[in-house]
Amino acid sequence: MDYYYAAEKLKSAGVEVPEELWPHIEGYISRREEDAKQMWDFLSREDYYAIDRLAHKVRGTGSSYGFDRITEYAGEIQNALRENDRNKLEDYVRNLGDEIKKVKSIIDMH
Amino acid sequence: MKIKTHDKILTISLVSLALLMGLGGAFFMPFVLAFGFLVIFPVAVAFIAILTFRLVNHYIRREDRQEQRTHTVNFDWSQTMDWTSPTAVPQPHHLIAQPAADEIALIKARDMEELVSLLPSDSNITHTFGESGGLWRFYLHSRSSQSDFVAEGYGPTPRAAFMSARQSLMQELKDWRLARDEDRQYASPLSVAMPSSNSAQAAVTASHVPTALIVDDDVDAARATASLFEKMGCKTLLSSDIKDAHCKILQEDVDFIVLDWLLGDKERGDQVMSQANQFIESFDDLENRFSKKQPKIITYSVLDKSQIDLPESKYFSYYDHWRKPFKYKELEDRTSQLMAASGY
Repeated sequence: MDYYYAAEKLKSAGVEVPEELWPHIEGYISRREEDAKQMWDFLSREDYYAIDRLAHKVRGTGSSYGFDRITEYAGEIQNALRENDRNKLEDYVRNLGDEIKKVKSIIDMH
Repeated sequence: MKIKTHDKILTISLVSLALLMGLGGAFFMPFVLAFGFLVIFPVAVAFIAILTFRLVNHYIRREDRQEQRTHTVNFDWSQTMDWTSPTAVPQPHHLIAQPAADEIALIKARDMEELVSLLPSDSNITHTFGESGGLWRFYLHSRSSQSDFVAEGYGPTPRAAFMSARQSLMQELKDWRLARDEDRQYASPLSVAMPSSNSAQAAVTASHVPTALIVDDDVDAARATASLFEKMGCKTLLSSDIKDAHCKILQEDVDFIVLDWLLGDKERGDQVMSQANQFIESFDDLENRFSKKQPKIITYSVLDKSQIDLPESKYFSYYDHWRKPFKYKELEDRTSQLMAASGY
């Protein structure tokens, strides 16, 4: 993977990854992709506590790596859980998954 | 020559006796052999079998007695024990658990000998094993005309603590040999961490590379934070659980501890601190070291500072709480301020 070109492409998509973290981006996104899959799994089992734990973790790191939207969607997932709003919860889990897919497709091109 | 009558009689008697003995031997030989085969051989076999049985039985019983003792000895020990001193034979009121005592005895008998052989021949060596709250400590101080080494290790068992200290000592020996070859002064990292008036040690202290320990169960968060401290010229260590964090806090000369408040589902940041406090209080030298130089603690979490309640400590100084989520640049500025405030 060419970190430089991937970072440039991400930058044009509005994501600015700190240079020090470029070598870790691929692993970071793979783990988030796994988290998004797990969230659907927990959602089908109505395990809201597990979703909250996962969203808490995702929210904590997204911004540090430059992925503000990932942090934002994870925060909204936690809000939906507090509001007990299942539709909103599903929407944001979907948004989070789509955002991760988008980032991954950019990274995978390089 | 004329043979006398009595000589003839004597000769005839001797020949007769020899013939009789020959005939008797030939007659009795089968009986002798049969006797040997039927009596002596079975007795010898029985004797060997009994001896073997008794020996095997003796060892089996000894093992049973040891196992029994392992289960019956009570463990009540809250202080260090100097195993180098002959007066430190365990007394009933602070007997250590038998499996741990056996392990220590084995280390002393085998591994210590090998370790001591690596040190300068005129070394005066003292070493101790200690335990508090389920965490073991091995401390070694070796002083000779040419060197002064201090190594310590921590772990869940005496062996783990010993091996950790051994690894540190091996590194120290390597560094010491290199310094000697280059005609430089050498000071043990741990002896530098302790107060010293020695000018060589003071010089090493001046070039001290600050160490930051990041305690976080999330590998991505830990990496991001570590990368910032590295950018500021720090050496970084990562821990994802309390036990490992304790070992690193105690073993390494840590300057900053960046502590995630929630570690998994069960562990919290205050537990890291309260258990570390308890351990340090159990050992005079650690108490002394941490009273002189307190690592700075930074808690970080998505929780607000008002929800963070870190226990009071004489051994750590609480610097700040960084609330997640934060942007990398924001974290960079805070780290930079921390370094400046700490004189780096």
